[in-house]
Amino acid sequence: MEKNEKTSLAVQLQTPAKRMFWMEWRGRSITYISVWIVILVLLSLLWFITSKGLQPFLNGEVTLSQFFSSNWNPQDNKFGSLYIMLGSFMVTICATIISAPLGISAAVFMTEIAPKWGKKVLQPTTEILVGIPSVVYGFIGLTLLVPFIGKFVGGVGFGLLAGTLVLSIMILPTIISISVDAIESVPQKYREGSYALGATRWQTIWRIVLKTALPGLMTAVVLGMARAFGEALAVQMVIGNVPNAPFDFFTSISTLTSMITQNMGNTVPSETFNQILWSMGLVLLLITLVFILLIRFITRRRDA
Amino acid sequence: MLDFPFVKKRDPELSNTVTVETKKLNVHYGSSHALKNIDLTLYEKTITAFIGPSGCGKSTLLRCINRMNDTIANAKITGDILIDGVNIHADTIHATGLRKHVGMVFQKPNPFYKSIFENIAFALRIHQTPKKDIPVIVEDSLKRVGLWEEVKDRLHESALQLSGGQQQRLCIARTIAMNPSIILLDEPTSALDPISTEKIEKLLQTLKQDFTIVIVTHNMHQAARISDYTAYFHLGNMIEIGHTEQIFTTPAQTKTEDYLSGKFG
Amino acid sequence: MNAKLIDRFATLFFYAVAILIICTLIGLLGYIVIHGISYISWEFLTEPPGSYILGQVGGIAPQLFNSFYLLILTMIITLPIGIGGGIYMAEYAKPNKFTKFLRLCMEVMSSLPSIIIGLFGLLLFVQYTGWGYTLAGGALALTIFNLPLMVRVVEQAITAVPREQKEAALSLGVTHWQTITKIMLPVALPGIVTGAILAAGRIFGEAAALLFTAGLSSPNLDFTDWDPTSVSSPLNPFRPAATLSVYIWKVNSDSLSTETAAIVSGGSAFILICVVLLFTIFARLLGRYIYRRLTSS
Repeated sequence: MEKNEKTSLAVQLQTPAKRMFWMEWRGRSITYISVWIVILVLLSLLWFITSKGLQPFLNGEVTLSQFFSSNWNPQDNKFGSLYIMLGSFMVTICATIISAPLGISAAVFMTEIAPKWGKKVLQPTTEILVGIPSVVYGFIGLTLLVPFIGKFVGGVGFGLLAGTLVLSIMILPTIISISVDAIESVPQKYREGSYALGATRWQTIWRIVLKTALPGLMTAVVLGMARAFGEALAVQMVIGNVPNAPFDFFTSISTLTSMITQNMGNTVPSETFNQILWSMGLVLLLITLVFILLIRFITRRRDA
Repeated sequence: MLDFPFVKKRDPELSNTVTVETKKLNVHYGSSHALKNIDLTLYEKTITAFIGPSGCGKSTLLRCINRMNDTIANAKITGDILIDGVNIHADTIHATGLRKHVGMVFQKPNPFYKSIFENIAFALRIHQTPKKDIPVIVEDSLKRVGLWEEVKDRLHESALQLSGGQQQRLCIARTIAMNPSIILLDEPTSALDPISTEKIEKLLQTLKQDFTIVIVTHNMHQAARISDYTAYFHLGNMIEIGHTEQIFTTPAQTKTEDYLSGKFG
Repeated sequence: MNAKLIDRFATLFFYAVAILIICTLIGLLGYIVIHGISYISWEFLTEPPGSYILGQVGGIAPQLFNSFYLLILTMIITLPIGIGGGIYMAEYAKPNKFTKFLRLCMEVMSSLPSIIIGLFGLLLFVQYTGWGYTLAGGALALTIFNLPLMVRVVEQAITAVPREQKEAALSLGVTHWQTITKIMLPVALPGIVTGAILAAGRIFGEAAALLFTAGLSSPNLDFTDWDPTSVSSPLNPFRPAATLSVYIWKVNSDSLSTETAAIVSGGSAFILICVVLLFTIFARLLGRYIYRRLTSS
């Protein structure tokens, strides 16, 4: 009798198992498929862009040294893209030089100087800034900034300066929000220790808060740079799109993204020019990956 | 020596049918050894209380019995747990079937963000209870925890509007609706006021007629009041288990006595 | 004394920065409003575009429709995959090498420049499939753009669900999967809805990923024809479709600073900003509303 009861319990424990097991298995599989879709999309993106970008070199139409020279003349089949790449770097670096101090200062303001007021006003401000589409930034740059520079500062208006200013506003919210996270994660006791030693607020911010938050702040700046480097339309609209040497603020230049945006639709896939645009896309992709690795390196050092 | 105003007298008619048995049970969380060689026997339709200072392993043991520790990634469990002679870690046993059989009530009342009715009906539906039986079971469970009169007019309002004590009784109702044979309670009254606590303690005495009950409690007086057996845990060891009357009057181990007399813990 | 003086200057500087940033935003929004609001009319919203090179302003009806339609198509593809992925990351991912790799993938994907996604879309959804410029291609490109964000939104929303809710369901013998879908997802819903609408705002303004996938043009749409297989039907997913953002870019790059271009793009930019801001506000309000409904009956 007792033995029977025991078997019936064992049976009872097992009966719903099969149904439950399959239900769980099915659900788990759905999520597994979802993440594999993400992985496969990314891997195929990397593969397609890489193979397409390497094509002109593998076909022997252009050599790497030609590609990395400054001799650009598509009519004459010269595709030296050095100035274009430098253009991307210049506009990114200049925008970061403006935006990083401003963004970090704004983050300090929100966390250390006036947390209540700062959060209430600056937080929504950055959220709205981040939501403004890049064509709108480009449109404002084109219709407000470019004529203004042309009239009052110098040159025709298009060029490095206009690109820099537009980008510096665009990457500002990125830098602010990540800097705020970094500064907020500095333990309160560090600040108290500093004030207890008689330091002023500025000394505490400069010597303790910013120093401790440095890896996070670096992440913020690098992410901002990555965003600036990859931004296409807003830059294309104000930069002028002539592949000049990018060392003068007032002459029109080109960047990798502006070149692709401008010409991808106007060339046919059989042209070398078109294939070179894909190579530029590959360079853009690789530099973006370098930025991501850099961020990983910074954050890993902080965790260690 | 020990002075507890209310200690439950030993009930001579306690069942001696074994319900749960653990053999050389060890639990590791990563590198920490949470339970050490536990040999425990629980009898049918009795209340057993687990007491001991924080971190002594009493909750860990409780969560082994319905395999809730499965959800913790780095938990490693060795040794056997038998329920009615069936090894619950056998390949053929699915945790969902086991947990239906071994219910659990938590420290913080945790009703679902659903209506009072849905709180009980939800799991019934998952376990394919016939549709026409559900309202009957809901009413019956609510009556058994003494909540029916209080909520029968607002069954379809949010369970979160109930008071803490009502919420906890709803959680108990939700558990007994599954018709388990064992109910595990993890400090069920520690978040409640004294009146709600008393209600739940009384409730457990009536539920004892149908279920085997295990209660982890931080409150020694509660263990003394309601349980038939008491087990004392310390640093992952089960120091002593026995009839509540014996543990609270003449404990065999000095460690138990030190704890109960308030020397530490 | 010196330190105190520096401290005071520093404080002044921080206030100046804050005010500068706020003024920049006000300036930007003000500029858009001033250069846009006067061009908005019923005709502008409901008529097809004129040929702006010839000085005809016309309207933005097809572009506006395309933007919303593309957004809906994108969300239909993104939501299931994003929710699936988010559930995996929050509940099933074990701390192992695969999960680390997965997180790296998400990180890379979320930092890809949108023009790169556009290039990939051009290659795969335009050239390789032979579809040409289509809404479907645009929606798939935007899905790639949006997916990592959606996964993160869902993951965070699920992780924020109280552990007690999950334990309650598991302890009743409910499977992990049913616990997630029937108990945790409803609790996580306000967070997911808010995040999804904020993402929608981002999609609505996106243009770079669409230039080479959904294209720069729009066929003449017949708003009385709702058969998705018909060529002139607005619902046909295999037709080219310039969105509002793409249209702004195109107008400006086709005709450098002419009067008409300024009117068309000013009005369009104003509408674009309004929609994006509405999304932001709507996201917060709806999230709060769902949360209230969930917690009180």
